[in-house]
Amino acid sequence: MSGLPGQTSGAAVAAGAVGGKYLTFALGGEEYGIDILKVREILQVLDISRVPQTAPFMKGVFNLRGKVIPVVDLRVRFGMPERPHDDQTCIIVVDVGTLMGVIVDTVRQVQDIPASAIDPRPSIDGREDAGWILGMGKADRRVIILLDIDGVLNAEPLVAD
Amino acid sequence: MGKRKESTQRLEASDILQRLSTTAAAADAEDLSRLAQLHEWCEALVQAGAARPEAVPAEMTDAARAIGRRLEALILGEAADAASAFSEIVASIRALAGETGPAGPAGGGVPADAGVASDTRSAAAEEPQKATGSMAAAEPAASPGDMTAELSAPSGSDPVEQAAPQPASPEEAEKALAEAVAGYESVPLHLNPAETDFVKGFVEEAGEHIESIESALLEVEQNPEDRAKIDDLFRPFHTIKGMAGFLNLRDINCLTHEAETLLDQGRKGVRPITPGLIDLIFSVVDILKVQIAAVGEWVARPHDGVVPQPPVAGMITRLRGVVAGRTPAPPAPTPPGTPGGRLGENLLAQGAVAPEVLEVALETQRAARPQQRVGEILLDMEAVSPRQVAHALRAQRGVEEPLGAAAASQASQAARAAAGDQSVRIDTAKLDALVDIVGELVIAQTLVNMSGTVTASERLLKDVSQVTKIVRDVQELAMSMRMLPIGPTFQKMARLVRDVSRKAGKLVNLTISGEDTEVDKNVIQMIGDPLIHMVRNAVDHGIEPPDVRRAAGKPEAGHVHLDAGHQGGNIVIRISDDGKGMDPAALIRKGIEKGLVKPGQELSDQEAFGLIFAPGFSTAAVVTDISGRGVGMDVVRRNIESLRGRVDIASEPGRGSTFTIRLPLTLAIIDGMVIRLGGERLIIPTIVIDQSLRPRPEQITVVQQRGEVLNIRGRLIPLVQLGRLFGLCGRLDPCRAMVVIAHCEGRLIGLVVEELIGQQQVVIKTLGERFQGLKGISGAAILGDGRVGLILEVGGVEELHNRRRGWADEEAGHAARRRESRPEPALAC
Repeated sequence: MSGLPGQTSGAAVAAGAVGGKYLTFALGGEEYGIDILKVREILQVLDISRVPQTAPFMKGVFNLRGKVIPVVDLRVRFGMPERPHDDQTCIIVVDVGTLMGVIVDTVRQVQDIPASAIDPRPSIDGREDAGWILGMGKADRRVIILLDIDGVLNAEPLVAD
Repeated sequence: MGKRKESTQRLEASDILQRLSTTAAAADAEDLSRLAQLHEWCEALVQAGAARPEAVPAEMTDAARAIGRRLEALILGEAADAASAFSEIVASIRALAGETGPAGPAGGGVPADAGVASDTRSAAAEEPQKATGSMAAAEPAASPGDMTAELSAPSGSDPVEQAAPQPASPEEAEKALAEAVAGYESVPLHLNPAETDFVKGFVEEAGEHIESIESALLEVEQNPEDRAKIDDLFRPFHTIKGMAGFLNLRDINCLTHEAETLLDQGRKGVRPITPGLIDLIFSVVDILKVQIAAVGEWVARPHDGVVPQPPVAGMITRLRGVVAGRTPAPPAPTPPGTPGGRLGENLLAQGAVAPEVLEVALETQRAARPQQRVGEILLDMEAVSPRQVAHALRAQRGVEEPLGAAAASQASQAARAAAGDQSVRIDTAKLDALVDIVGELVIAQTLVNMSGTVTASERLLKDVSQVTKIVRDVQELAMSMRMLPIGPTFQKMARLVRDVSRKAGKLVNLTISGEDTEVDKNVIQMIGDPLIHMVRNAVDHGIEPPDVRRAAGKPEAGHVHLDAGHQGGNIVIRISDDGKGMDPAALIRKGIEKGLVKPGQELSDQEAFGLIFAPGFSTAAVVTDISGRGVGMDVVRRNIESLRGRVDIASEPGRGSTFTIRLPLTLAIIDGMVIRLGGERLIIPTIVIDQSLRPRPEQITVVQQRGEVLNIRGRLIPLVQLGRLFGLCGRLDPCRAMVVIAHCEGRLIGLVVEELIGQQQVVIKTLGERFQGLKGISGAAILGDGRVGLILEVGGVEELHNRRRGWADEEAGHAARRRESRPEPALAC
């Protein structure tokens, strides 16, 4: 995820990101944003029950007031090394058709990012995960990677053989 | 009604006219809200006329304005005679809407019931009619404003309370009467998809009212003089009429209005209720059902276009004729059957029921429900209609004979059967939600119980225990709401047995017990098919032909018995027969033939019996069309296992077989054993658990190509290292852990777990679509401390185990230098 806006090649795909409010969070030294309209809840990470035969990024399921919600570890999903959970680690519950949780290092804030402040996503050869980037948002001299959270969570099956 | 205000602006003139006409039909002089609505629409029409004079003729605009003014007067209570003022308005509206009618825009002097469906008409028609025994005496009743010589008033009639104003001339009166029986013209029906919920509610309620009508008809058939019973008949029609009017369902509104008018005459004593009349009302109900079904179809797929409706003009016209005395209600000849004879025989004489069907009903009565009436049983079976029962009762009465007590109670019981018990219709989704939430309540309650603060205070503990008790009662009640007795499902088998045995040329008696056993509604629905297959199987394959039985010293007629009961938190259904039973050796031979069993493979008796559940297995020499092709039984087992149940077989060659189906009481809650494994907690449904133990070292052996095996009294049970299989932990030493022995399609497997935590009931939560392919896990549950425990599904576990074993074997086979070049994966455990 090291592509800076300046390095976009001519083949950059049109930005899929729309201006609006984004929930930003930290993950592996980078800052990411999810469309706030998809966010349902933010909680501190708690007991997750493992589910056998699932993909490595599927951490398990947990109980959200009576509903059993699957949880994805975004670090694993993005191929980053795992790190132990601390009191900053959060689960963001999103609605991507069904409710799912994602584990992130820490949650930052709700950021207003107008369309004018969003650059189209860079096309980085060979990196499949570039497909999940809606665009690169800029705020206060920070770069926020805007995620297509539906794509991140729905693209691959949770059950592995 | 506010919603309508905006939309009136945009309506076309024709729409407005239609709504005016319909609302006028449903309104009466005192219905202020409808009068106000009519006024609104008159205004809308005037506006439309002002805005688009080319679309709306000037006369129409003027007429609308005039009607509007009269409506105002009526609403404000300024009309001298409200009823007549109203009738005039209605007549004018009808004329405006282009329906047949003599009334001009001035709207004066039109008699009350100028073919308009208003309640004043019934008042006008309320002349004392000839009190003849039946309407077959075709003397027309006096018409309102009876001035013309053509119509003869019945002699000796009392002065009629005329609600209608005196007609201006004899010609107009005649015209009015002609209108009274004028043809009815239907208009294309359009429904608004935005109102689907209202319409849906109407369809549901109307269905219930129709049931009351049918049961009331049976009561009235028995007691035609009882005004209260006629009331029971009148009211549902009135209610349906009102609802239909509100929703602009004009055809239904008008049909029910005519029926209501007729019945109103009946309940006021003005018209005798005759069998012919009852038949007529039955016919009205038949048409009404079709009308409502048509609306019901629209509800399923709402759209903007024309809603197809059945033609009702004929019936409405006819009813109008009867009400006005123009047309007589048809005389009803006494239906065939003997007065005082038995209901069943009368139904036979009518041709309403086939002798075989009656036999089944009598059989059911004899075998299972001796206290129930045959008529009721036949209605339950839906083999006859309430109308046919009514006719049979009529024949039983003979028309003149006094009621016998038996006939009367039969009628009322039949009526009760038709109407159903006093009950409330509830959306099953709501019940599911209730059970779910109550489950959460129980868990939350447990947490409170465990809290240190609570246990520390004795006083608090007492109060909390009280709450616990109440919560548990609520839970039982919630779960019982979805429970229905299994009786009716069993009773359906009687007919099946009769059909199948006849086709197969065998004699079979079916008996049932435990029909009061209550089972979850869902389970009842899903157990039907498996039961049918198994009963068919018993008759087709189990029971021998009469000569074979005779030769074997058995009674010629075979016996199949269905039993249901509760046992240890489950429902147990047994299907037993005294047929030829199953021979494990023969089954194994067949299995080898079909390639399902390897030669020399050891199978227990249970496992051999279990072969009949394998797809493609059928020992029938000739594939019969009834249950041949071996398709049925594997579906049976799959169905039962999808209900989280299991089926066991016991059989003795020559003596018979018994299939035992075990099912959880409800699908939403499961009774499970919580076990600890690798830091996680899993739940094993108790229904599949045979026993749990900590084995001794000498009970464990390693068998080639089978892995670790547990030896229990000579039975070899393969051990599954569940923790390793699920990636939760490494291999566990069974002798220092626990082994849970579980049933798996007639076989047994031993699951090695760390520790048994305890048995408890849990509410099942599905994991969702994303987890579809997950093997070995059927769902999740929330445990007492709020954590999630996964629910085990042993079939999948076995499959995973075999696959891994297969891989391990392959590797071993390649590594070692054996004779077998291609080691087969282990088949059955």
